[in-house]
Amino acid sequence: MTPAPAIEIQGLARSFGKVEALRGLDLRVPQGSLAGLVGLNGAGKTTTLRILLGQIRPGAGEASVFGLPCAPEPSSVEIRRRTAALPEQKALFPYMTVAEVLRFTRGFYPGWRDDRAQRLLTDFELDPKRKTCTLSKGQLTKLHLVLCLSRGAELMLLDEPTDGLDPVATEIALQAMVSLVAETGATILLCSHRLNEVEQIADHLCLIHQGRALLDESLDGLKARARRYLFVFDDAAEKAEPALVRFGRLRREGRALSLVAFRDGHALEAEARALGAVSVETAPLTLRELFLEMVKP
Amino acid sequence: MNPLWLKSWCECRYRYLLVWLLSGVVLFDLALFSLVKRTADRADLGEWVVLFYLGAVVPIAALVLAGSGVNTQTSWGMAPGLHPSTGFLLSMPVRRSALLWTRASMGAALLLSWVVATHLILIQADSALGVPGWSLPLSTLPAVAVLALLYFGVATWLTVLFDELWSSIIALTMFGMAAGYSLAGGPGWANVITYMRLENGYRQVPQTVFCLALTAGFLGLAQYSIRKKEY
Repeated sequence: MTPAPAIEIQGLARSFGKVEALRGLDLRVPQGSLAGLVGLNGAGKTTTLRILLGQIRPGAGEASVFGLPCAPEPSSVEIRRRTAALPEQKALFPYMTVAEVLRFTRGFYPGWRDDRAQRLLTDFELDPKRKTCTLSKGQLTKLHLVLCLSRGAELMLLDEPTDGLDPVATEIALQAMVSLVAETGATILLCSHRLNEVEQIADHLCLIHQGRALLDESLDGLKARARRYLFVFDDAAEKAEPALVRFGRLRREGRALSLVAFRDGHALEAEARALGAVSVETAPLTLRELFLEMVKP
Repeated sequence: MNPLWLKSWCECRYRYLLVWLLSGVVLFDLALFSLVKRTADRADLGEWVVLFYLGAVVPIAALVLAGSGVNTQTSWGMAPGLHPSTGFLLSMPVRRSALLWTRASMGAALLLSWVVATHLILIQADSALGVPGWSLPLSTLPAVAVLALLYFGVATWLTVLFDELWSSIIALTMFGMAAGYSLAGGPGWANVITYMRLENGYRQVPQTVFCLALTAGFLGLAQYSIRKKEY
């Protein structure tokens, strides 16, 4: 039996004035997964996270976390009790020290892990006595990560969690996320423009474009299915275009046709050969290539 | 300690100090007048100091100590827009009304403690500085405190609706108009200074009940607005 999803979104829509941020978004993030949420700027990622946290209300559709609806305040408070969120803007209360912010956050979470917080503070070389307003952008991100990873939360909504981090801190952060999911079975929704990091740690991918989900599936499965094909023809390739375009987006370069397809690899190859292709090459796609292929105009 | 009380205290502590600096100005003026003016002139000038205290310092103190609890306040400044830490605060498992009421309770408690202390100091200053006949009697303290709370309620509601910069501008405009009307001797219930000084036959109990009800109304509006507003 498939476990209930940690996050389930159906037909979610939201506008800000005349700007449609979400236009019928459907998403399903499995429990215990480390899901990457990717998309262009303005695709609707942050709006989705804010709706999940009950900060803004959806215009239409439904969003639920742990089966609880996000919009009503009582269930939203319960969702936030079980969730750790790293917001897009990394500032913290400017009048508090690092230790005070930790104390403030700990007060809301009975499952707070002091040992993990101390270890991460040491790993990230954060001074507990420093005021948060004196921290650099990267240090604020580190502190947010300490706050998120120490809460004992069942779900983490992380918006650009490596923003401003140096490579060493990035590696520590990514490893900490992977360890947390492995140790506790928590779910992480990682919203990021750094596709190499998402590819490195995520096992599920949600790709949003113009307020709708283009992809929502296992990353491994997707990478196994998605391939780039290069067909070379003896004569002009344009005759084969109408027949092959149904398999995916085509690009023609002289006698060659390049195509990214997500299904029917064998059928595609057979059809291309029947159309006169003399050579067929296939290659796997990186997440970056896949992303560009899906969203590039 | 409840984390929200910690946050409220952190936001209020320097503001409380600022309010005390404001009352220091009043006491400094009193001392100055008592030293440089002839006894005959002291009463008039002292009267103006008290009017300045009632008409300007009390509303400003209420405004400085007010806050919605949602938008993070800095210690001194009034930055336009929402503070970038608001997203972090709103991700905490707490109702918005709890944010509002914790911050409002802290601000109101500090405001009341300041009103009481300042009032008592002004009464003592009267005799200590030898300025006759203008001080605020102890009997007016409840009226001053209740009106300070009303100013506080209005300012709290405004900080929910607008960011701190705009709410301060609007509140100062409103309070300034009320003070101007009162100083010009405007009749009726809107003359806040005659109420605070219990002049013109004001009956304290009904007026106090009216002011408290109005304060509760503004705080209720603030709670309604904070639940409806999207941050």
